[in-house]
Amino acid sequence: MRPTARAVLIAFVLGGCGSAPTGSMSSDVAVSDSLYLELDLADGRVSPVAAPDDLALIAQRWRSTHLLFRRIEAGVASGTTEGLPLSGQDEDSRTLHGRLAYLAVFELTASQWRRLADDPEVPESDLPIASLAPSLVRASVQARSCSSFRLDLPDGGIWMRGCASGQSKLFAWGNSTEPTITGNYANHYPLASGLRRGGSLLANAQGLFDMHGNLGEMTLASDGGYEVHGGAWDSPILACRAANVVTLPADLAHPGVGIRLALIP
Amino acid sequence: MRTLLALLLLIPLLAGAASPTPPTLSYLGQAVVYYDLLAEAPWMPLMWQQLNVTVPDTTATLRMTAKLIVSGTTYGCDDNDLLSLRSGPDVVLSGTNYTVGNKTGRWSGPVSSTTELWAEFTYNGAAATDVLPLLRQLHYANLGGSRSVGRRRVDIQLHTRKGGTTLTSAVISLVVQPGTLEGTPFLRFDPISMQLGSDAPWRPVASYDSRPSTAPTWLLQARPTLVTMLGNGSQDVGTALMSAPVGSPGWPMAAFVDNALQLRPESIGSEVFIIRLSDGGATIALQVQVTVGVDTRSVIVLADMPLEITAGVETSVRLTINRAGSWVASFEPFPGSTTSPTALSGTFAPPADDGSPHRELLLLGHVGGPAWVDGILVIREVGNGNAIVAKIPFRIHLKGNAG
Repeated sequence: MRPTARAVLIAFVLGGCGSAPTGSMSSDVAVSDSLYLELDLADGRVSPVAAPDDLALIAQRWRSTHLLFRRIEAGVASGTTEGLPLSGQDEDSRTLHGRLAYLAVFELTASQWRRLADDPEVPESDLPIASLAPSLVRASVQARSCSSFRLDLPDGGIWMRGCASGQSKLFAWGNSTEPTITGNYANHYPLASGLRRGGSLLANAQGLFDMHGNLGEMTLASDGGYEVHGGAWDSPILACRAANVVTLPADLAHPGVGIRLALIP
Repeated sequence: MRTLLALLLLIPLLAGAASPTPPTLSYLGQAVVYYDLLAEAPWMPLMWQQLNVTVPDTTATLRMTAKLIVSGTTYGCDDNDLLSLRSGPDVVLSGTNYTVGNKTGRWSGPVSSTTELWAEFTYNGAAATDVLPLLRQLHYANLGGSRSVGRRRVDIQLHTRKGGTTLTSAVISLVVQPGTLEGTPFLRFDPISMQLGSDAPWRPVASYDSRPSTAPTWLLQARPTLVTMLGNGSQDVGTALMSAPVGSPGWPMAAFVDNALQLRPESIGSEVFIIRLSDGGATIALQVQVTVGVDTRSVIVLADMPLEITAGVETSVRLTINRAGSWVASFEPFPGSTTSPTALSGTFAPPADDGSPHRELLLLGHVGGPAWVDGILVIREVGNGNAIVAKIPFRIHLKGNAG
């Protein structure tokens, strides 16, 4: 075995999340500092997976029984004000710090939520789930104990790092608001006719889908509350800009807000 | 050795990077065009619709050529067959000089039989948008009157020349089928590009009818969804344009003038709608592309609608509109919805005197209304025809109202 490969294997740590809200730890699995991780919602096992190609990304498992995560390196993330009125005087352009995390490649589907929350009344569907109060979501995901990871909602820094990888742009694709450009990446008003299956459009540079549009994504605010990033399918494109943050009341189950989970080492 | 190998590998890459790209020419219109030998208007346009051109090198000299082809017994021609450019939209001819926009050039003048027609821009720097109007003004005529003649073929090609290197596009061949029946009239509609909030007049760019005694009429086959078609008095006439029964005269050409038809953009996007054109005989379908965008250079509206407000409590929402003016807000249903968001009202607070683009919109959710209200906040500019400048969808929880 080559030394570098051995070093990578040695770097594996043991990881896994409890499969049920009882908080039990799953069997140990080897988890590397792989670019991609997969969480099995049945047994809570976290496993490294090879970088999926376009064909693999359409797999139903990642919209029903498993969650696919992508490694997002730590670093700073800042909004941009370029091209906005008054240079975006109102824009939240504070510099955020994102810690190392694994961010879900897709928005959480109804089928995944059904398993995650152990709620058989939620019908099976590979469409992203909305209309859940963030307090309920957080309580459900935190009930899953993990040995090496914490399953949680991302904070604004992690979300912004996943969106634009530290680049100061309005969107993951740059600053263009031309529908011929935006429509390739984002399901947004007025191009959208409704909610879409995750992964229907192009991914951003980090391989994450639907960071803009489709559903707004709930994040943890620095004051302990909740915020929404990214805009929904019924949002105009400027409302989907990366640095746009809307306050989300803890008990508001809003139909335009969905979930993108994070695994935090 | 390793260096030599690397150089050998680089050569094809460098050669590929340096090779210039030829112009392209494609035509997706009718492959065979009928020509009326008894035409009272003998000059028939050849390519009005579905013509695409690219000119990658706009520093080269640009030339177009057109020529009638004789090929065995399949295609023939004689001195009665003429090709010519004609003055028309964006193209002005003066002898053997021409102007397209602010670009000038020279051309061969009308040609007959197999003589090549050519046109060349005098100065380098012509682009696809310059040569496109010229190609659309290429006309064919047969001055031999009523007789039996075979099919004609016209080959058209683009050429760029730079530094002794000439590059040519693929040839597109149009087949002209002469006959003695009245031909289908043509209307020319160029693609329409509009901006949200700006109505625009709508009429054909040009028309052609081989026997003008019969006025061409037209019907909408499918109503566009991005725009509303307005007639005099701003009524929506789109449905009327579709509703003429089969065999009826439909809308005559004069309707474009009499009704001062306008297009009013409603949504951002791009679509193709189809018009059926008839002069009582043959019918032809035309595609018209309309694109609606936002004039982001002049108006950007930033507004983040709240997800939740308390019913009965006035809530201020800050909008940033980067153009001076007065604005009015209305709340309209989502497209396709018949439920108006009447449980929500909003008024703009008076603008500050400091010229700031910030505007306070005071939202009020009505007590006793539904727990959720959704729709589109439409912002109009007062005094500019109440032009729409922004549409902001919202879905708001009215806290305190029963679900």
